[in-house]
Amino acid sequence: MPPSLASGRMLHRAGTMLLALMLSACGGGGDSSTVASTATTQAAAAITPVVSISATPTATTVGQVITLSWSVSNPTTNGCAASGAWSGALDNSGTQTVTAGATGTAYYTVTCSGISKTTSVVISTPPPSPTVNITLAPASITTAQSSVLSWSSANAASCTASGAWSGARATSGSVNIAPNAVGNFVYNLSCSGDGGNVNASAALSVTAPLSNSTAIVVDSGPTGVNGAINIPYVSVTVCRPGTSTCQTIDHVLLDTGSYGLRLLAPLDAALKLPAVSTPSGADAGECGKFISGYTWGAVRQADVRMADEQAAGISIQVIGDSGANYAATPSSCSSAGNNLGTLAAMGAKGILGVGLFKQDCGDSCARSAVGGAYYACTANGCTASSMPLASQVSNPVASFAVNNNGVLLVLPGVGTAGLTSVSGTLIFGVNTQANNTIAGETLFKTNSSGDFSTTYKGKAYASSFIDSGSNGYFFSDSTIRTCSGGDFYCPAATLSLSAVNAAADGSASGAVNFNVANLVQLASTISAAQVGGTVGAATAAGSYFDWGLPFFYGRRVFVVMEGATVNGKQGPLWAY
Amino acid sequence: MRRAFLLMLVLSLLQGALAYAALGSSPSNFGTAPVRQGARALAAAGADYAAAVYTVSQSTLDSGTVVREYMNADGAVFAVSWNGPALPDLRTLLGDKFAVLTGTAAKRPKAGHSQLAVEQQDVVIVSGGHMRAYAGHAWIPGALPAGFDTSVIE
Repeated sequence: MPPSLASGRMLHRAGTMLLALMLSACGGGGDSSTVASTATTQAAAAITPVVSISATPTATTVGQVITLSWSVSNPTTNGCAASGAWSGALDNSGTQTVTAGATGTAYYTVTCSGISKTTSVVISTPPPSPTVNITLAPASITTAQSSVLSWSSANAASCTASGAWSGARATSGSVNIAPNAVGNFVYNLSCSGDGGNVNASAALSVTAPLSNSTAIVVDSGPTGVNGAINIPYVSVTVCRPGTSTCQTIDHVLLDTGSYGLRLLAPLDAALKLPAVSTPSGADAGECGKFISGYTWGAVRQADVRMADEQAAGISIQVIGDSGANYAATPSSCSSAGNNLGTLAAMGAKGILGVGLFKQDCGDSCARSAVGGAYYACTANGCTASSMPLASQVSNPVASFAVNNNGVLLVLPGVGTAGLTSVSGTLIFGVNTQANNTIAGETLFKTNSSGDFSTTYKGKAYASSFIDSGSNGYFFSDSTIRTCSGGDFYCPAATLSLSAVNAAADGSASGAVNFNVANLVQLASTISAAQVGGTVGAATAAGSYFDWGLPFFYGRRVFVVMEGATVNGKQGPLWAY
Repeated sequence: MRRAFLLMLVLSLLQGALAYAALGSSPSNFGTAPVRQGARALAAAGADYAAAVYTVSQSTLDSGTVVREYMNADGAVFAVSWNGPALPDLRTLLGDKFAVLTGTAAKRPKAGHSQLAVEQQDVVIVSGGHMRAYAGHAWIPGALPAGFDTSVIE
């Protein structure tokens, strides 16, 4: 053992002890130092322990793990002690992990048998952790809609998609999502950087598209109705407001000539539709007036549903309501003619008015107690009452959340021989969705009464209208034979006729060709036919051409309600 | 419509209790003062009918509907008409001819909703339009002043 080594490493130690240690460590030797060694053999119990400690790594960041290893040779006592940046009792040798503390240099000291050794670790500020944010707007769509998936991150170098999408992604961006399947889809994004890894996800709910259309059928009518012709029926669901207690009623007459829903009593007992009150607080009764008669009954509140549309809490008429306060029909109601409040008389289980206006009466009934319209009904009977617009029986379409500016009726063509039944579609909204967009149709604006002008055989009829609730073309022509005892036409052979319609504001006009077949020569099974009838000899005023249901066959007919604007023109208007 | 016969009986009984029938008798009282228009000479009046005149009584109801009653020189109503957003009280306006209106529906060969036109020897009744726009007229052919042209009815 070279003396220089001994003196260099252990210079501070006592000379005899140093030599003894060195001899012991080297196992003795045969050179001159042997003598010295021999001379100190008796002092073996005082050999100095040697302590070592190391740290891995020697540089790290706050919060990271540091592994400390230590050992002692020739211990004079059992066990060591930690001090400095760590503490506690230790074995003579071992390995222990510690967490890097505050920024700076951490000193880890181990003391064994009175000998201390220290190692140090440089602790620096760690790189910031990455963050990522991912959103879907909107988070709930139908298969007919799309959503935008947007994400952004910070302290990330790269991102990877998984779940409902995949592949490497930029650290921020957006994509349009247009799923074609129903379900719940989770979009995961994992981003990583020097500061670590982070995950985020967003969920997309995809449901079947909401429907804005319902079926129209022209058939022989519900059981109990005989001889129905040209009556378009739809199904309507009414619910106790705000509940799922509902009833779906089939064979409700679809009427573009009236406004509001009227249903024949009795409705399901469970519905218990609440009564609507007059301004005086009485139960409201109403008389619905039609050319063919009247409907008498209660005004009640209901949620009205068709397709996926709902008119929440609107006033409807319950015809023949069993409430005691409505028992007697006021004479100012029955003065309209016949009672339509039976299945046989109405030919339907109710009337759904989806015409040009929002309420069945409007401002005049809001202002004053118009005779023969709304009534305040008590145990003492019913007296005429005013009725605020919001409480009047109203066109359900106007109260839909969307698709509320009108309707589109689509019915197939019907030849002169007629058909036993016809299926069509009632579509809610005009120019609100792909299926209700005005294409090649012409807009015919009406006057404030909902009428336009029709010129037939050289005479203009200024109060003409389109009415799916009229079961034929009704117009004046004394040259056409009427059926025996009736006001329908029964020409010897089918007539091919023509008239010209003109918008009330003069902005459009166009010819309409139509046929009138002999009503009584039709087969008894026919429910849809090209028939018409007379409205008597023309007079100076109040003259009209009534384009009834046959007009709708083979056409798309749009109803644009008052207050709505389509293609730059304000309703009320028709487009066909 | 199938119950029309029964209804007709009921309504006919009601008729008896009502004293203010108009068509065929004196003008109606709608609760508002009618505007009595000046006597008009018959449009087709020739030398033979120079003395024949009629008057028109016009009332505007609360609803905004205008009702006109055409009276002969004796003050009897021979024609009525209406035009406006609400159907007037036809029982009042048509008098005992109201039963003709209610009875007509039963004769229709097919059920359903349509316009109404009655043309009988004793009365002509036409009622038409749609909700919020009603119009109609009626007259008694046998009571028309000589030379009266029904096409002038407004």
